[in-house]
Amino acid sequence: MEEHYTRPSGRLIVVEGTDGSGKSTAIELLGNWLKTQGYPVYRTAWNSSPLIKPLTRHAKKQQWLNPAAYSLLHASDFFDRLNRLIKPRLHSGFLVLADRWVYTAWVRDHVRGLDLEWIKSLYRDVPQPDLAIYFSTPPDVAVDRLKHASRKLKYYESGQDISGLRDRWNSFLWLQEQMRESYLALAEQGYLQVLDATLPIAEQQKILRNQLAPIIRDVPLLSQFLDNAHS
Amino acid sequence: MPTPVRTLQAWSYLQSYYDGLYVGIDGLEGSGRSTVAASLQNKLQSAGYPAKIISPFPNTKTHKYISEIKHDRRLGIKSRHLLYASLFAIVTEHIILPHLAAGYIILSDRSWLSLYARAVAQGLDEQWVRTSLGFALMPDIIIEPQSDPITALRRKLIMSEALDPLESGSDNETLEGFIDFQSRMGQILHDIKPKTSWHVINIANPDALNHLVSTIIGQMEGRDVSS
Repeated sequence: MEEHYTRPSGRLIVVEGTDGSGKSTAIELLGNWLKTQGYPVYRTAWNSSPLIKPLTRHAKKQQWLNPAAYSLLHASDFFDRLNRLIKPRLHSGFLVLADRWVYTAWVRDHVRGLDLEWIKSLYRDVPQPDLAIYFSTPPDVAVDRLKHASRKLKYYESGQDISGLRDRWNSFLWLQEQMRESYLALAEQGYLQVLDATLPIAEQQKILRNQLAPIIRDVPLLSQFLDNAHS
Repeated sequence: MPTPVRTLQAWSYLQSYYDGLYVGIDGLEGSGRSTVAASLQNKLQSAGYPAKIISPFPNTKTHKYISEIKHDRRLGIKSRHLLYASLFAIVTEHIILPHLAAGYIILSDRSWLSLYARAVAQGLDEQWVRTSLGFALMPDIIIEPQSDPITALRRKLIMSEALDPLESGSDNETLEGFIDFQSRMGQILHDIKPKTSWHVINIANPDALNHLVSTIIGQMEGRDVSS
């Protein structure tokens, strides 16, 4: 990955973790907090390109996606969002909050049996986050949270395409255990900072906001950046 | 054509052995690929060999989604290429490999080499494009209907009302755009030739087609027939 080449005025903040780790709740709270302070904030989530997602949803429903097709379709979605929605904002002073970044692909596609170097080269030349947090949760805690929220699991989400397990929750638990190992390895390599996601939410926010403060210090507020546009 | 950063061994259990033959038919838009595919299928089947024509896109239930995305001009070239590569991975697993394993001759009306040439002609990095297609099988034989951009253009305009901007490499369906883009694609395909079993065929010459049929059958029977 490369540094932002034109020294963008925005910042890229990334949260990673398993489903049920609380990362989406955390990023929503962070986004609201930043907006209240007057920052231009943009949130983006994995697998959410308005152009690609309808096809992905259909292909998943049909259970057509082998690991290579799965990986490439998610990469197509990622680069659509990156080039059209994210980069212009990063370069013009937004705080971009990303619910999952390339690390999700590295971890998920690798667990699906693809070569990690291949996956990394697919996602080369992608902006490096200014802050990337891994929401660390024991997989059984994440499963309990999802069950509590009455979430229904889907075929690929639970990893049934690779686990060979018939029970969706057992398969999901197996997948999360595999992914957790990969995430922790990435944290050890310095790509991600680990946050204990079993802490109370308010406690997590305190930690995150402290980490964010020095990173966003020089980012102009919305009012300033609109004024400057005409100067 | 560069070597991929890593080649994916996604289907090693099927790649290691199959009875069929994978024939790619690659060439310019309007060069007559479909005509060649149909003639070959006819002749091979007459000779008693099962032959199936496939395209790089699963064209049944996904058709609605794909045609919508394909013509959406908001979609950038990188994302577009990855979408096509993903669809080709689906076709490879669900159609190409099972048929090869069952002993079919697959006539691929455009193999992944055309996807490669198109993406590189559009300006994507060739090493990156090659890597993204690292899962794909190299065809046993590649057939290129002999053509030049002007002839291809004429055929295209006989068959369709207007030029497709996607085949002109720009937002404009201009003549210059089409010719320029097809020339670039032609050059990229030309550079791949020495590394493969590549046959350029004059589609107007029935003898050439018959010779090709013998070559394909020869390979199927495990004989070494030179072109």
